[in-house]
Amino acid sequence: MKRTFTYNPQTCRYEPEFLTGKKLTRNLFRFFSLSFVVALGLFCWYINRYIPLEEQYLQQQNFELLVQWESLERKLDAAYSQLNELIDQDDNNYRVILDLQPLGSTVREAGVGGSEPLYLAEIKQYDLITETYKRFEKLKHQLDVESQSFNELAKVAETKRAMWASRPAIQPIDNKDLMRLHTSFGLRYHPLLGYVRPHKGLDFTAAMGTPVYATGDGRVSTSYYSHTFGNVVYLDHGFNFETRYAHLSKYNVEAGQFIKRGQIIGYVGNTGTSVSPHLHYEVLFKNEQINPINFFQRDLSNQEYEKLIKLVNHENSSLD
Amino acid sequence: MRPSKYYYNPTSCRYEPARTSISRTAGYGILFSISTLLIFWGALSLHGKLFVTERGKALKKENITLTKHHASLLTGLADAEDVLINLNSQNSNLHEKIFETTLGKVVASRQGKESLLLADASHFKVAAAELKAQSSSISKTSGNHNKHLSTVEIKEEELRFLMFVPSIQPIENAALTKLVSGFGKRINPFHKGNYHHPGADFAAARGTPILTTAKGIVVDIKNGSTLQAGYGNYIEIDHGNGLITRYAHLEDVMVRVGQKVLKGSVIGSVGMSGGAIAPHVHYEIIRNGEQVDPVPYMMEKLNSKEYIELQKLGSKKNQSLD
Repeated sequence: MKRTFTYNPQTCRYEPEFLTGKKLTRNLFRFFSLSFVVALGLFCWYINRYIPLEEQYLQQQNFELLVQWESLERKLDAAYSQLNELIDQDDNNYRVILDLQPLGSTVREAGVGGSEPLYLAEIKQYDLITETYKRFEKLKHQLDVESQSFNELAKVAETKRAMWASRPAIQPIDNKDLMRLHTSFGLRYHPLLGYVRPHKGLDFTAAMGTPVYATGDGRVSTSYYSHTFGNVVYLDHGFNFETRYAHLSKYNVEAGQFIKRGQIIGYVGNTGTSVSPHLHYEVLFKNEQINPINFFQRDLSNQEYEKLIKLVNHENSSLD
Repeated sequence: MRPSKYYYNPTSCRYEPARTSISRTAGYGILFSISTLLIFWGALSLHGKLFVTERGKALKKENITLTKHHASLLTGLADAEDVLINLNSQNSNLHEKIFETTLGKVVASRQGKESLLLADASHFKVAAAELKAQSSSISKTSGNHNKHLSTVEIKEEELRFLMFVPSIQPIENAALTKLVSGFGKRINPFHKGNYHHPGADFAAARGTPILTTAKGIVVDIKNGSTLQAGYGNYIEIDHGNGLITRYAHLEDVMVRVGQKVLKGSVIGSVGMSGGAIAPHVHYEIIRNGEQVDPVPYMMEKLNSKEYIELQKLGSKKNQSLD
């Protein structure tokens, strides 16, 4: 470094300049204090004008969290729309078909709230979070109601299915074995007794030993030999329905046994007060005989009938 | 003012005033800026650490709360979704049990939108040209039709005849959801065998009003039926021209034999009398003594899309309700 000189007017000489510690300190102090003052000015201006950095960072984080929250809300919306579809099915489809009262919004929305959740104090001031929680709690409650409702529906549907299955609904004798069907129900002349009396069933004339099928699911309430009915089987179908099969040559069921529709319960015979082999068939609703003609499907084709019979008897034999 | 600093110049053997060099000044300047900025930065971060603003505090708290409850709600929602999945499977089971047919999942087709999004300008050009051609041909034919219609005279007799043709659904069914089972081979609900179902079943809650589908005269009713089989309470209305409609399994019959009824008038209410497994109205159209498919006779108040939808519903090979 080139040496610098200063002119000293007292000595009238150029004197070399020396860098003393004092001088250096003074220079440095000047330098930094100036720098500090400028920085402070800059700082004041910045603070007045812009948001602090920490806050900016928090704000950014907050924005991201709100976006996440929004997606949570969308998920909640999706769950609600699925649930509403199920509720619609429940109220307007199943409950109509199963003859139940629709639950309605009063039942579905009752009892939301209850004990105050622990987190409530924490989120009280945040409307967004509170609202979402409210919606979520409501969803949970409605899901609960809907689950219970579906369980109830499943139970009712099962009962109804059993009811439909047990109702007498087919002919007790196959069309191809049937020679004649006496559709006279009511008063008629009795061929053996020789006087007019009510005839409370239908007569299916068929060859001896023709299989007789149960017309609905049910339990054998009794099977015995009677002087008038001969070998007779009583089936209790539940739901106020009962069927009787009389004048059988033999029966192969016993009291208490569960019978499926289409299962062979006996064979056509000529026992009791009967003049020729035939089946006397009665249907009772609430212990009163009604015309069985209403209780078999007349437009069921032979093929369909045989399919039905075969299916059940095959099922039974495979069980043995 | 005299310069304060001098250099000794050995060539001229003289002291010459030192000139301020640019590089030196610039160096000092840079040094100064760096130090200023460093101090500024330090002050700023110190300030940030020491003095958190009210807003900053609130934000921090909110962020912590949001993070925490987002996580807890997310797990809760996952549980709820599991319940929903379970309910959906229960739903299809129940549907199968009741209607003896699988629940058709409606998958929304997004094909159209996607192809639209992927299309480039040339596609639009072609499509626009096609549309233009179509619209001009349609306007041409519609012009012809209008001319045709304006020249054709509909006789009063013919109009009267139309009034006697069944043309609406026997119950209010704007959403088309009530037609449960149609005409033809169906599963019998009692013995589960296939049989011929001679009408259309509209399921609705008990007491839903039943409407006449055309002008006519009540020719037969049955009320107070106790038999657990057959049509139960029913109404038959003769519309002339060999057309008779039958409404069966009613709860209430509100008309008497011989009464004249107008299209859309309430004649009874839905029930499940007779051989029915659910409250519904079994609707038959008898043309010249023979039952025919009633769905084609339900075109009124429906646009073509709804009509096709109704036909689809009516042709499902499921279980009937009687």
